[in-house]
Amino acid sequence: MSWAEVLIEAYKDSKVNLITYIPDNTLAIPLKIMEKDPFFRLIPVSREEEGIGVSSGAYAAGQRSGIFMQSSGLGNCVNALGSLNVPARIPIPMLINLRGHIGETSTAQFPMGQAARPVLDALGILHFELSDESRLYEIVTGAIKACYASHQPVGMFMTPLLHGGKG
Amino acid sequence: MKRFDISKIVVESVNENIPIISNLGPTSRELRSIKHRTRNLYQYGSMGLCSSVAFGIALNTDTKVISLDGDGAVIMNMGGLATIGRHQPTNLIVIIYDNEEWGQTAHMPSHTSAGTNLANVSKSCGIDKSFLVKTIEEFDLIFKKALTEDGPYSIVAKIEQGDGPKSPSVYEPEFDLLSFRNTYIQK
Repeated sequence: MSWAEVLIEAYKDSKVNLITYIPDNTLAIPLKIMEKDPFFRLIPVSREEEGIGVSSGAYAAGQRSGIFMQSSGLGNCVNALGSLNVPARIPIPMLINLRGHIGETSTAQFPMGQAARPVLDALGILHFELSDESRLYEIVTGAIKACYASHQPVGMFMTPLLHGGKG
Repeated sequence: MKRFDISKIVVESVNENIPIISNLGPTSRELRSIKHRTRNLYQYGSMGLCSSVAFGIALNTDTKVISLDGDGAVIMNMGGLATIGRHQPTNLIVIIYDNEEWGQTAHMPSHTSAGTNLANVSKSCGIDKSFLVKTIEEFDLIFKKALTEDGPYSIVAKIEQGDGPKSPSVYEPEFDLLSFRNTYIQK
């Protein structure tokens, strides 16, 4: 199984079926497989912060909803997480493709890439790194479990060590 | 016309089942004072996301879902209208209170005071049933239609500046969310 297929299995087994997203070249690999899978409902949004709103609404109506975005997009979500999800305790598993890592070629991607984890730390949001394919299923299912048990969003950072790409 | 009077029509026109999501500040406090319902979901922060939250709810229920949004907030997340236009949730009714100002923060004029027409924006985003209303009668007519016909609907209501009777400023987002959500998971 490819990393994308393992990831999808972990989401299915965790019953997270509504995914809001802003794509990038790496996230598009699982997203294109998920598009053809009736288990998933994919909702492209205009901006990552908006995806946080849509996923939060889905949770309010009793569903499990995650978001896929880049680390740059996490920067667009900060106030939504701080003023909606954390105080209202709305869990969202956030799959974040971490830019500004090994092999990065875009200068603009480094600052937010470096800030991504400290920003979540500052909000008190747990996060985990997805770099090792052999532990991918275990970490994703475990992180999603922690997300819903803690009633808080959780970040999962994919790095090029997992997928070999960048954005 | 006043925001309070329209929110009152909304609450009195729907049954207890219909979720009403309200923008932060006076819109939520007026709604709470009109009628505090388990299926009211008040926003306390996250400005701009009221209709996005409502859209997320609409994706997961068969009933109509009503968003009580505001001009300043919608301008902050105009892409949200494009997302609603793209996905065409037939059960979503977005009501945008347009007082042409950032009413809660110093009453400075918003973009709609300089010509931004949010009904036209909604329509251009693919929400064909977009309307601008200036009287209670006009609102009532279109809203009643929106409750029975397929949407999505965007109803921009030009309102007077100033607030109506408001509930005390309570802050209990976690409690609101849990009681709202429980009505969905216990059915």
